[in-house]
Amino acid sequence: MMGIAALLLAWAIGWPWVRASQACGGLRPRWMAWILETLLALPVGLAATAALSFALLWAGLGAPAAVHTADGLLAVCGIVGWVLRRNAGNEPDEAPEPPAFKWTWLPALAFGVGLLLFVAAFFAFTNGNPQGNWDAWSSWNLRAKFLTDASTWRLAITPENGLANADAPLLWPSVVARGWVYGGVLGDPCVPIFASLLFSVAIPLLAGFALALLRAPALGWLGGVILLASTPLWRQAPGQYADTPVGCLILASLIVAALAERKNWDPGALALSGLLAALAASAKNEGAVFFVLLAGTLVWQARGKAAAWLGGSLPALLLAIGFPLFLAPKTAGLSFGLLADLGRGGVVLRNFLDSLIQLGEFPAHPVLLFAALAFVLKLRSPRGPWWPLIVPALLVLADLIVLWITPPTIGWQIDTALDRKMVQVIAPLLFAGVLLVRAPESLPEPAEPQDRSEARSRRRKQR
Amino acid sequence: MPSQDHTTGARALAGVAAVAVVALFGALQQYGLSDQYASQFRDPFHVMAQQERLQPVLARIPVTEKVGYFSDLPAGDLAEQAAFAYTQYAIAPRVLVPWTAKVKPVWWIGALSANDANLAAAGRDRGMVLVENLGNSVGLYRREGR
Repeated sequence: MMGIAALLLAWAIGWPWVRASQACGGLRPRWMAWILETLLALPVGLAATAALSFALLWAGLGAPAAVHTADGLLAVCGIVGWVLRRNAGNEPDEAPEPPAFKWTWLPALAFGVGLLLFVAAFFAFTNGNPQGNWDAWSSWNLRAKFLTDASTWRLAITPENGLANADAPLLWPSVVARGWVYGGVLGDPCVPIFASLLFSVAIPLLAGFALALLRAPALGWLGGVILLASTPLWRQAPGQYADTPVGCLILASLIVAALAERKNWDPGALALSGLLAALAASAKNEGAVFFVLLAGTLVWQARGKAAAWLGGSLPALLLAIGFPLFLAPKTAGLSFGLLADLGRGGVVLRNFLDSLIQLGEFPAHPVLLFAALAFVLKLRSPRGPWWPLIVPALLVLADLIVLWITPPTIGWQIDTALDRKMVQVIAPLLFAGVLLVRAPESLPEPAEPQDRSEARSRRRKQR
Repeated sequence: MPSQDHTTGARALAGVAAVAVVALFGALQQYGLSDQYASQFRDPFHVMAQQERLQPVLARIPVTEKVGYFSDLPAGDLAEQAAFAYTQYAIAPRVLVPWTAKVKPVWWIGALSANDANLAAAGRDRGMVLVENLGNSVGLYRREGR
C-alpha cells in the first residue's frame, strides 16, 4: 500500500507545478479546468520525482535518500512557484462559453462507459498477469529492481550480464523503483501495475478534457471514446512498458503547448510544456525525437516566446542529454546507408500499413471514426491550428525512418515495435485532429412570449 | 469569409450520435478481445511463482553477490531463456550468471525440468551442496570448497 501511496504523493507533488504554470487559467467551465489541471499533475509529478531521484542516485546519494530528497525539493519548489504566481491567474476571464449542445450527454455516456470497460479489462489482464508482458519483467522492472540500491543501480545500464535494452533511458524504471523504495517490498507488482494504470487512464482523460475545454465538451468526449476504440491502447496499457508513460508525457506536453497558444504563448504554460517534453525525452528515445520536433514547431510558431519553453525544459533536458552521453552503454548506431535499401523501406511501410489497419476493429476503427466525425461536422473555417497535428505526424515519419535505418541485427524491431509506437502517437494525433473539427451546436430555441396577454397583443398587432 | 466554427441541427446530432455509438461499440469489442486474451494467458512463464518461491531464501544472499544458475533445459531453447530471465528477475538486484560463465559464485539456483528430479544429485554432479529444496524442481545450492 505504501508503494501506491508513493505514486499518489508524486501526483500531488506535480499539482502546484501545474498550478504555478497557469496553463489552465481562464478556461471555462472552472470545474473542468480544475480536473484538467489535476490530470496534468499526474505526468508532471510521477515523471519529475522519478527523474530527479535518479539524478540524485547518479550523484551518489543512497536510494531512499535520493527518493525523499527529490520529493522534498520538488514539493518545496512547486509550492513556492505556486505562491509566487498565484495572482498571475487573476486575469479577466476571456474564454468563450462552450457552445450549447443538448445531446452532449450521449458522447459523455459513451466515454464514461468506455473508460469503465477499459479499467475493467486492465484489471482482468493484470489479475492473471501481474508481472506484465515479457519486456516488463525481463528489462523495465528488472532495471527498476537494480535502481532500488545505491550499490547495484549501475547494473541497470550494464549489458554484460545479458540485460536487454541497457541503453534505454531510465525514467520509467525510476518511477517503479521509487514506489518500491517507499513501500519497502522489492518486486511488489502493485507498484508497476498501479503506475501503468494511472498513465494509461490519464491518456483518454487528458485528451477528452483538453478537447472539451479548448473546443466543446461533446467533441472532447467523442475524442476520448474514439481513442478508447484503438487497439494498441488496450493491448499496451497493462503490459508495464515505458511506451504508455511516454505517450502520456507526449500528449500532455502537446496539450499544454496548445493551451499556451490560446493565451498568446503564455510563458508559464510554455515552460510546463517544455518540462513535459524533456521528461518524455528522459523516458524513451522517441520522446527525444518528439522534443526536437516540438521545439522546432514552437520556434516556427511562437518565435522568440519559445525561449520560455526551452527554459522550462532545461532541468530535465540535462538528464535526457547526460544519460546517453555519460552513462548509457554505447550500442550499434543507426545505419544511414540502409536508406538505399528500398526493399527494407518497403517492409517498414507494409508493417506500418498493417499496424494502421490493426489500430481498431471494423467498423469502430479510430481512423474511420475520426474521418466520419470530420466529414459530418466539417472542418473549421478559417482553419484551426494545424501545428499540433504536424508534430505527431512527423514523429510517426521519424519512427518509420528510424526503423528503416535500424541495423539488421535488431531488424526484428520492424515487426514488433510499431504496435508500441502507436500508443505513443495515437492520442496526440487524435487530439490535434479533433481540434480542427467544428463543434456541434444546438439551434437556439425560439423565444417564448412572457405571458398570454403579450402573445395576444402581438397577434393583434400582426393582424 | 464568415467564421464557421460550429455545425448545427440534425447534421450535428446525427454525426455525434453515430460516432459515439460506434466508438462505444469499438470499446466493447476491445473489452471482449482483452478479456479473451486475459483468460487464455495467465502468467505463461510463471514469473510470479518463481519470485514467490525464491523470496524466502534471498535474505541469505547479499544484494551485491552474484548468483549462479544451471538448468537441464537445452541451451538456446525459448523455455531455457525464459527460465533464466525470470529467475534473474526474481533474485534482482543480485546478478544471475549462467553455468557457462567464467565466474563461479558461492550461491547457485538449479532448475530442473523433471517433476521428480533428484536435486541433490544434480548439485553433487556440479560440485555443489543442496541447501534448500524450493519446490517445483528448483533448488538453492552452495558451491563446495570455499
